[in-house]
Amino acid sequence: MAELYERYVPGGMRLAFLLTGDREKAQDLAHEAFIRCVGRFAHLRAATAFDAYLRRAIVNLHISGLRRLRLEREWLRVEAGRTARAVAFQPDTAIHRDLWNALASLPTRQRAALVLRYYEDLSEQDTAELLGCSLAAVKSLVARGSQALRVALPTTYALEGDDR
Amino acid sequence: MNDLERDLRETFEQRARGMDAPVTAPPLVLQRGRRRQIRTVALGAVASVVTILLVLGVSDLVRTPVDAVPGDTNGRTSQLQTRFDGSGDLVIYGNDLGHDWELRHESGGIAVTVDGNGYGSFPMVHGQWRVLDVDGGSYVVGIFDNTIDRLIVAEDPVGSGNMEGASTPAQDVNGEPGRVWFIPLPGRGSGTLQAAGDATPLGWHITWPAQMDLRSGSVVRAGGDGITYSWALKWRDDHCVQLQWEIPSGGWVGDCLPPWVDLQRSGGTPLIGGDYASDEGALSGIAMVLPADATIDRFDTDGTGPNPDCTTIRVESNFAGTQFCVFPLAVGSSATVVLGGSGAVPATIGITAKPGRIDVTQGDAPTASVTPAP
Repeated sequence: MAELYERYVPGGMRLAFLLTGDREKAQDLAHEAFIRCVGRFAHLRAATAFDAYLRRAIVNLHISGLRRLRLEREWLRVEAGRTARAVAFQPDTAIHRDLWNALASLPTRQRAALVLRYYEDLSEQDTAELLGCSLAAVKSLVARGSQALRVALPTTYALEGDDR
Repeated sequence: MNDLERDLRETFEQRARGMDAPVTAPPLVLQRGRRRQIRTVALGAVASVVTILLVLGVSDLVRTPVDAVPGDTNGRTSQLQTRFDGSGDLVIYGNDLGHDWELRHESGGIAVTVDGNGYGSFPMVHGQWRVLDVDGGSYVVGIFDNTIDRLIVAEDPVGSGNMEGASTPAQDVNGEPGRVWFIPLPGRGSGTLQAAGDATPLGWHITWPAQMDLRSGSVVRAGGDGITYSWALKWRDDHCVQLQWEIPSGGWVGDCLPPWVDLQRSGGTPLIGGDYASDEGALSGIAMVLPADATIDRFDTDGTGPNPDCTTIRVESNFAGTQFCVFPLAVGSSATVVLGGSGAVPATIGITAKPGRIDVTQGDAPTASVTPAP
């Protein structure tokens, strides 16, 4: 179980962070999803697809708004000192910072659709399955999310249909 | 690809790389994972036993060998008494609050008998529960799936005490294994019905006796999924019903929602109020005060969630002509409500949940709104 955690949870935690924008919520979400998936591990149709199950659970838990409050944050804080960052940070450019801030104002499902499409690189069909909605709904969520970001950052991005 | 898509990909990549992840698993997480595995195996074993019994044609209800089902590990869950009647149906029975009672599986429902008299029935579907009044108190009867290992009523005010439920295994109408639960509630009171086992941390508000005798704190109506939100409309006095709203991050009690008769005096427009969450994506509780014969002809939302849960107060009171409708709306989402009905002000109402407030628009007429009580 520890090996499963070490192999898959860090990636799941990054996905959860992009969905929530909050480190502690991301840890909650990833841990709760891990516990649920590992509980069903013996019944998973394809144990090798644990990563996929975990990511699905993270998205579902996030969409449903279910987040456990019981945490072991203190332990994580201690552990964080031992965490190695394999990749150096790129400088946070102004546009990336503005975009990240603007993402925080999007409704949960719009943000999730954007994360799944542009971070997870899922197709619209796969995104629809994961979000439990229709293909048209995903297109709408992505379009509305993108439009909201354009509205929030008018000097950076032209609005759809805007000839600027 | 346009610039926005490219920048989104870059932003996500950067931020994801900046998310610290622990190198090794926290012990508590592993411990909970192991417990979950054990529970899954145990439930699987129970399901297998149930399936075998069914295949043998014993009954559409599970017979109840106590040692065939893992009881509550802390010994908190007591077992209800059971027997089989002449037709092979399971009968759950007992004597509480001075009455002999029976629960019998009939036509997909749970039929309740108290002292030999029929007390109606309700669907044998997981998550269904009722408060049934008897002389001397009330009974809570419900059926839940096997994720629930404990059912309690926590009496108001908080800390007054808990009343534990007893249970016995039984399948629901869909053949899913679960347990039938029973809790006797003496006298009168109010509190929260909580199904433990990680299932419904928020619970559902109840008042007993359920037959409403309006007194301060009486639950007029309660709802929610018990997990992400839970609510109750509580009667305070002839001019005040309050929405109590609970989400995982906290709970609020809203300002007074007046009876429709009071709103009529000030123009007769529907009132939209509620308890408003402040975090993006968190669920605000929206309450609408309407005339009793108003209908909701259409309800659209760009978020997820159920349609409004509407109720009238059938007790003779100032609220007799009033209808309350409650629904959750995530901060950042909007809903459109189209009202109809002979007595209603025909209107299309737009509601947008913002952090700590809601914005309301209504066709041609202004809409009153109440100030939230944080």
